[in-house]
Amino acid sequence: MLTDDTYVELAAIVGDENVTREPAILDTYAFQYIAEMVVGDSYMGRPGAVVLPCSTEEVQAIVRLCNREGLKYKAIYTGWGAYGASPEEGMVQLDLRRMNRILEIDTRNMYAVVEPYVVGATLQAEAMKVGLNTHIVGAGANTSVLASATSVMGQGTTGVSTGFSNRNLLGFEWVMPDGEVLRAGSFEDTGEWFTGDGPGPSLRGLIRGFSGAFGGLGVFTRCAVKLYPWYGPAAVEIRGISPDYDLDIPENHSVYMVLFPGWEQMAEFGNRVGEAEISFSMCHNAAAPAMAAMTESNKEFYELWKSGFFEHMKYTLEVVLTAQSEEEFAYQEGVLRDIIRRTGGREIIGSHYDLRYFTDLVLAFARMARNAGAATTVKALTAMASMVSRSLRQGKKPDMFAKTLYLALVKQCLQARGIFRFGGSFWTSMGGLTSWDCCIENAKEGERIKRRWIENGVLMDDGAENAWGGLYESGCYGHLEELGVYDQSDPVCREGSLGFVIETVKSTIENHLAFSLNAVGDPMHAAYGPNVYNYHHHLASIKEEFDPDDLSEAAFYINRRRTEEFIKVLESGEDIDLKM
Amino acid sequence: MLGRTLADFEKDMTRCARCSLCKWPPLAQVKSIRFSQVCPAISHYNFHSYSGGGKMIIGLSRLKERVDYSDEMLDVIYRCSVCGACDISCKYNRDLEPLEVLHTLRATCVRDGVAPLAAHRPLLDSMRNYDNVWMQPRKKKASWARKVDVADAARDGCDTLYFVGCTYALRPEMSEIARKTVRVLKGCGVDVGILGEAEPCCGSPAYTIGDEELFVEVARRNIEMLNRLGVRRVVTSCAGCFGALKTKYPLVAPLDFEVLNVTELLAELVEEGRLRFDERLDASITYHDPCHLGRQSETYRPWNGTEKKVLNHLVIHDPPREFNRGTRGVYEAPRRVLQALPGVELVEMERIREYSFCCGSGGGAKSAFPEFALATARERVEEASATGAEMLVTACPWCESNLADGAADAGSKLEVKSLIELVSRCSGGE
Repeated sequence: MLTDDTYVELAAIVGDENVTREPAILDTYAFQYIAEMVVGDSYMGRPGAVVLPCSTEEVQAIVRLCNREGLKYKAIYTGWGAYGASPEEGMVQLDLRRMNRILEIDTRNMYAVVEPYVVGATLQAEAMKVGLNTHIVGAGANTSVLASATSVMGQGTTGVSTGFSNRNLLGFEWVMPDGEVLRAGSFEDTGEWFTGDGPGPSLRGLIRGFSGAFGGLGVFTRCAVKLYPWYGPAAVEIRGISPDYDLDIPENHSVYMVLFPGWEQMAEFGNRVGEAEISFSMCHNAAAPAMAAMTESNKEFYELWKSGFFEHMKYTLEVVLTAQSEEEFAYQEGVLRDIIRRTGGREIIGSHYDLRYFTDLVLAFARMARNAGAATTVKALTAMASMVSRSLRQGKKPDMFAKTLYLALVKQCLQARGIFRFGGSFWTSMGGLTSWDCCIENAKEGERIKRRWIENGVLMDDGAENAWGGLYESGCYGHLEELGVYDQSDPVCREGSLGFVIETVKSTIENHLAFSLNAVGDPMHAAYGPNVYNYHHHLASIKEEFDPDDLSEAAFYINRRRTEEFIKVLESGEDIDLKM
Repeated sequence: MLGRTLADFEKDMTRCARCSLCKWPPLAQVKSIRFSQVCPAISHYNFHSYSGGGKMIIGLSRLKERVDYSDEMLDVIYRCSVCGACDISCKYNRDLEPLEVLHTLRATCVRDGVAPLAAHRPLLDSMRNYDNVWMQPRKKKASWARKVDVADAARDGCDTLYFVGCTYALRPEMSEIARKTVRVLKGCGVDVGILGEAEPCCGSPAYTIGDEELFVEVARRNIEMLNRLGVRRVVTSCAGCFGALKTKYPLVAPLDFEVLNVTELLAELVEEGRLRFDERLDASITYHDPCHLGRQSETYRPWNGTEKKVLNHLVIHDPPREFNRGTRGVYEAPRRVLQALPGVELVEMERIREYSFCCGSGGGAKSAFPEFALATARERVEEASATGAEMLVTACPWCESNLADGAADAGSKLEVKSLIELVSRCSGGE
């Protein structure tokens, strides 16, 4: 328990104005996204104090103090999600918001060194000014670059050309659980962060592995991430007033949403485009979130969606091309359109308005109409005509869908519109990194399971198919996670939505699908560990070696005893309970 | 909206995802790391509680009686200029009402007797006792117009009432703006009148501080008086008055007149060719959007429907509800006027229009937390200076005053000016 004396010591480290134990302020750290799934309430455990350090030295002093006093602690970066908190009360919460600088952008070696509170949007804005770009995770440009690189999983829509956060980590500064500071990667020897793998052993696998330690293994105070070339303007100029921004898609850039006859053709397209190494971005957004991103309110979304027609806008991939020259662009688009043709795709949204596009658009609608039936199609056309007419009256242009899609994919700015606006919250399951073909099997299974959770009223009826993900590193692998939308203020959802996650976890094990990206925390390790080389033993050993007193709060990382207890429960034939 | 309780917003507060979108401009508009924050309160105080989302959580915690009132909690609630930037950024993506929660949280504090803060009480008492916020006798309200030839709207009647506002009327250093406004409008042939001593306070500070009872009392009295005048339109040069009259008064009673900000009228006059500029300014200018002229100048359409869920959990409203997302704010009129001034180069700051960074003065911040207000103004001045402009121009006395304080405190050479002053200068005035 945090004593008055310890509180005074915390204040001495960070200054009186940067520490608090006011309950109203503490509650704003206990309240967390998906807390209802973890503890059955909107609030996780209330911390004993929140501190706002501004340097590695201050973080180190806080961690050492917590070690001396036997206090649990955990850092948050932007602090989005229950994993930033603890199910138990009383820990010392470090909010790293004041550590918010981009320390360096090395254009020659193409990397950036950032502090914890630098987010995708700010790093991208600065990188683009020097012809570079950063990978931004699917959660959106409002998330910490460092958090996804060091501590959480980090996949995003540009992964086909920019890799993803786990892989882009080139080095880090780590206040270890006991308060010692370690810098990994080339920095310690050379003063430059160009590689995360030495000299000396790479510690990336140790500190984060696939999922990250979710704050359960000390505090990361700096890291270097790889940057990628940006063949676009120094800034994407936006016009108009929120929520409908307008822009000119830059020269030699274009965007597409391609509709396929089925999963198999979509899989084939993804693999081929990945191999061709032509796309800047390639991802799958299901119909409902894609349409949500392009509408300004739930009301507008529902007016379009209720006809049932757009549920048939299924099996789509979104692609952004960015070329350095007209010739390169012509090559990229030629290759892309050739692959579209060979895989039976149709451009349902595009930004290159030629005969090919308009023919595709008509054929895509015809394909959807065949599947939807005449009555549904008429209803949808009426709703669309009404929306387009209203939009034109408001001064929007007919190409608004393509422009919004471009904005969403390049700037990662509409994630919350596409998924949180519906009912308030969502959770995700499945989605481990695997071959793109296996991702497709994940998506099929996710849809099958989810349909039942829609029928029993726990999840929103988003058409059931709501897989999100893409391909990484030229299509070497991919991920598709299954999203379930719910209303966290509704007791039905609070009680039931975890069931959907549990069922998908079981399915990934039984059907040999990809490891779930939800595999964090002891119950999950209990479910997966014995099925995946008993990895939980290794994870627990790392935790125990670096943090023998278990003070770096690890509810979402690992505790050997708790994991083993959960394993025994599972072995006895009881069902898994993910609540903490 | 008026008369709401925290319980009315329980679902909104519960559905906050704590995503922090309320801390940045709408993400599409982030242009640099230096000017990437949009909320003055969280920028200054850093704890999450100071953000729009943080205050949603405090509202929920209070509603659920998880927390009791404390001085520190009140500080969090009132160390905020209620600028509404959080609301715009949230609504770029969501159908939630953070600004309404902020207001209702303050109104709840007042209803529960723990607010207004001591620093705000004299201001509200002054409204009650003197019909102005500056603790000045009523008769002083007409002092600014002693040497101005302008009709008494109540006695002589007029087409356009110029509602001057307490600050332009009672702060001697700012009164020249009121005089210039009248001269410019009259010079364009506008049939303009004033209320002189009879002009009441608009009531805006009572609303922003959360004293709804006082605000409604003031607004109702003012609406009756203004409706009785029979004017076609009421023009304000104070963004605070404009926000109150345009967006809040219709919630109290119907208005029989149109409410315009002077920048809108000036833009109209320029377009009609009635306002011409002969003098050159030859200056590089950047424009600061006042919150109550910009994103907060949309009138709430009273909505008393119910939330409805379709597709199991898709939240919609019955009857359909319009959200204020800042889309219809007054952004272009002042820019059109500035661009019409000969020799003016308008250079934009990074945070503008609906995601403009607040000057820091509003919501009672200047009177209760002057250091916070000043720091916010300094931040805005730095952003303005980064454009290379020589002048920072705005259209609100509160913004002008606080930004001038910020420039002085920062040792900046940037001149802070009222748009009216430049219009007057270029149209042959002083």
